[in-house]
Amino acid sequence: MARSSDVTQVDGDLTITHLTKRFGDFTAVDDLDLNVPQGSFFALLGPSGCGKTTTLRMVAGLEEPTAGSIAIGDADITFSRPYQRPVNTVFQNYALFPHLDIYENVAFGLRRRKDGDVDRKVKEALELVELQHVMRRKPGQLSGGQQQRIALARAIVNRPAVLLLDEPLGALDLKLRRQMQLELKRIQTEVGITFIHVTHDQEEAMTMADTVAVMNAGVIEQMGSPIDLYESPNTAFVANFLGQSNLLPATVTGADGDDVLLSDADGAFRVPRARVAPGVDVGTGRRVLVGVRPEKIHAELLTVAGDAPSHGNFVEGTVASALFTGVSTQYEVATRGGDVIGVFVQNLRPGAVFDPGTAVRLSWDAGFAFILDGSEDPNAGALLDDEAAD
Amino acid sequence: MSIAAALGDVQRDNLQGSPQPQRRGHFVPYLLMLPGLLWLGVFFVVPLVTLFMMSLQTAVPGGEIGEYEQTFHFANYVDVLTDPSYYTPLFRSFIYAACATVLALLIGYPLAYFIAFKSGRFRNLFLIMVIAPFFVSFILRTIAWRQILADEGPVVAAMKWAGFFSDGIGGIYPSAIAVVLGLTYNFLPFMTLPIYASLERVDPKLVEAAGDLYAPGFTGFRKVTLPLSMPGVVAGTLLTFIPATGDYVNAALLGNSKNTMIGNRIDYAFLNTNDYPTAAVLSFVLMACILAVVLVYVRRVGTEDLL
Amino acid sequence: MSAVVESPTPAQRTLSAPTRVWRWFGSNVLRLYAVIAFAYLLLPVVYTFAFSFNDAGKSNLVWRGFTLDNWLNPCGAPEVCGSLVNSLAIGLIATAVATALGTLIALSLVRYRFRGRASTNLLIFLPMATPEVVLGSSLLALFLNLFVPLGFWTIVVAHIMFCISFVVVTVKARLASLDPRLEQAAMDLYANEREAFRRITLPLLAPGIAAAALLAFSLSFDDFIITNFNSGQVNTFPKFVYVSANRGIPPQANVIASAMFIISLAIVLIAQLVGRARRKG
Repeated sequence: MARSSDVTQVDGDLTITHLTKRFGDFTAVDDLDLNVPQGSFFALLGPSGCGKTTTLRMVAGLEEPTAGSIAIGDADITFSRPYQRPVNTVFQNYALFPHLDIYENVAFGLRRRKDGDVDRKVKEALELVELQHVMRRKPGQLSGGQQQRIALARAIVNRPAVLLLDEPLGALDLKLRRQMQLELKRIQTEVGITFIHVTHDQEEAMTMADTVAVMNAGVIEQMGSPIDLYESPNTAFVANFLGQSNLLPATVTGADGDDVLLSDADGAFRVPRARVAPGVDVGTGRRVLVGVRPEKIHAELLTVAGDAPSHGNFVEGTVASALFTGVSTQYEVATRGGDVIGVFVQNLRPGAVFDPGTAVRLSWDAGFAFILDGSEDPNAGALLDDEAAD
Repeated sequence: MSIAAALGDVQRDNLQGSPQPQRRGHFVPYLLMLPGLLWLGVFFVVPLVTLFMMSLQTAVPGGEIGEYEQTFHFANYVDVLTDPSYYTPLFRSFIYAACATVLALLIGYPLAYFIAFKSGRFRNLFLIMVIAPFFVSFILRTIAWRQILADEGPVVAAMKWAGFFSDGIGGIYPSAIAVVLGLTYNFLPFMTLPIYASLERVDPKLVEAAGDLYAPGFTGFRKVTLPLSMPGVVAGTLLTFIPATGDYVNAALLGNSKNTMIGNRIDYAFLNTNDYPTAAVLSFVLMACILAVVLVYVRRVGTEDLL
Repeated sequence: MSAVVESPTPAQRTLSAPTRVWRWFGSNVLRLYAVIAFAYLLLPVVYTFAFSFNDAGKSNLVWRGFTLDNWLNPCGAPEVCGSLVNSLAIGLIATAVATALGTLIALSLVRYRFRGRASTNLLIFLPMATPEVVLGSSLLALFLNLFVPLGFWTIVVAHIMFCISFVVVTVKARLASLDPRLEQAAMDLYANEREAFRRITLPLLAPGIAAAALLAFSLSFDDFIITNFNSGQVNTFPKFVYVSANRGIPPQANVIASAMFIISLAIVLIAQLVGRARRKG
């Protein structure tokens, strides 16, 4: 490989164009386009096998793309060797070198690049992760959380243009994971390096990243800020994979000013036109999915039938199950029209839990609902086994 | 550390497989392997072919002893296989090797079980004790058996004292029993270590789970531990049986002319009478027989992936 | 080291007869059995060691009294030390070459996917599954055909041949247990292929290579059958012992064997202790 392809010093946005990776007949990554602005915290979120790790490995240079290109700033790094790119990785199992002590692990990249200031940089990096005191220990003598930080320090010390994190918190227990999420966010803000974080954990992605890309079957389904993705999902997969959603099949019956009018077996609803996913046809007679997040639904005891709220977005049904979780109670309500709707009710007053069998009325603000394409599977992304991270 | 430990690894390797990352440079692996494979090609494969050619040679008419020409005389095989002075030792070899294998299994399995589950913190010490005999030249160890089993040795003395032998009637050395004992002894570590390696990987929790599921003690062993240790048993029996069949040191040192094994015949034909075609035929017949026995055995046990 | 712990399982009340026998066996008979098995394994070792102190006359078969003479003068018997030196020299050369060639094959087999992997594995496996007598006689057939004079170098060639497979298998096992991500991480941290191999793979592989070398040496040092076919007039230690078995083995041979035993045991024990110390940090 010629020296001219050594671009370890460049800086800028990460641009991925038409990136494709096939393994035999299987397409892991399918014509992916992505732009990650310099200095942002970017999360690539998806179930195992969606192609996110393959994408990451191609950016790191550990996998060669079948087609497409990867560039940082103006420099094309598509076919550079891993050691010729301004990219460093925090590996899923950390991949700390077991025969080298912590200091030498962190110094490894600097030494390879013949950096003149190894000692100061290593100590700074260890200080950043608050682990200066374990400098002379071997990786095997550290706890999982400590190893995780060392893996981070070992990558960050090189000041790469892009830092890749492959499920970095997957091996830690819940409490430590929460703590490390805050830590990672702090370090990213402090060093200002572009972080690309691959995870199957939607909570992890949402708490840390500025921008989240939801990936499924080799393509990016939707990209945006965590709030945008959560409040306005464009596909059933995103709606279900990020939190939970009730997706009810309905038919468009017309329009009223800025609202779309719909109906299903339970009655009539309205949803603002602004809340229709891009590209979905809401002409009269069209079949669509109406989505509402469970926590957006208000549930009340059904005392007098027909005493309906005036805004019209309501259904009636009976409580099928109630699950008390502490902060809230999660209900499944069987509607008269035959749907099952999930509802989260905050536990504001002690003892105010509806028993199964109770007749309730569910209602929501029209502005909280959203409309998706009616041809989608309402369960897409809901039943995935997100434990089997890969 | 030892032959059998390494072979335990063969088995481990074959059972688990390993992640194989793809690399660039298609010629690199060939380049790395070239010298080693060339060595095996020239000094293992080519000699086998040469040996086969040699098995089809006949004596040069009027030539000296040890002078042969290539006549593709397949009848050599018939001649040798119909000669009782050859097929008897061949048959005997398989009987002795089979006895030694069964004995080694009977001694080695409980020993491996003991080390794996009952040895506590002395486990490594016991393992070293299993391989320790390897550190003494195996010929000397076999000769030590000759001393131990000799008429004036401790075993015969003890048996005479216990009334098994009356004075003047036979001993143990030299005899078929001594040869089988020697074979069993020499290959016992090859039996014990692979079984230990597979027992060691049996999670004690599995046996506990079996106990929890109403399969206590013996049933738990029969239904859980034993099947899980089968790969080790298969590897151990093969590692004992194959070399024991071809061995001739034990027969030479612990037996007499009535205990001759096929290895002795090959050695004698090659090095003493320079009857190369006969020696070559015997080598090939031995290999073919071993291959046949092993294939039948492995198929019967149902772990073909071991090979 | 305690007896079977009696855990209160639901099935306890209805212990079957085989199970009760099994438990009793587990706690008592198994230990006795192990003692007998170890006695069987170690008795010849003890014998060999004891007879190195025998005040043997012509033959070292019967105990004639204790002496230190053999230990003080290990080269006293003709050919004992000469054959030992041959065995050591052959062992060292064969080990060095076989370890190098075998390690390269192991690296290719574990780290690369290539056409012919399965047949390579078979070629590695076959020499280990072939009886020694066949290995030895076929190699002799080749040497006879090519009129190669038998001697020191034909033994070395033969030993390298049968050691390669064992080296491959030992190093392969170690390599397979190495996480390939470590090398990837090194390359991610600006080490090129050569540096990643030298700084990460090779140091982590070193214990496996050392074990393979020790194994190769002990196989070569102790080999008799293959050597016997291809040695011509050259004597190795096992061959010397075998050949002199019928006219009486000098007690000096027992001295050499006992010394080798003690040295090997020391190496293993030190390796164990070092390993334990390293694990404790």
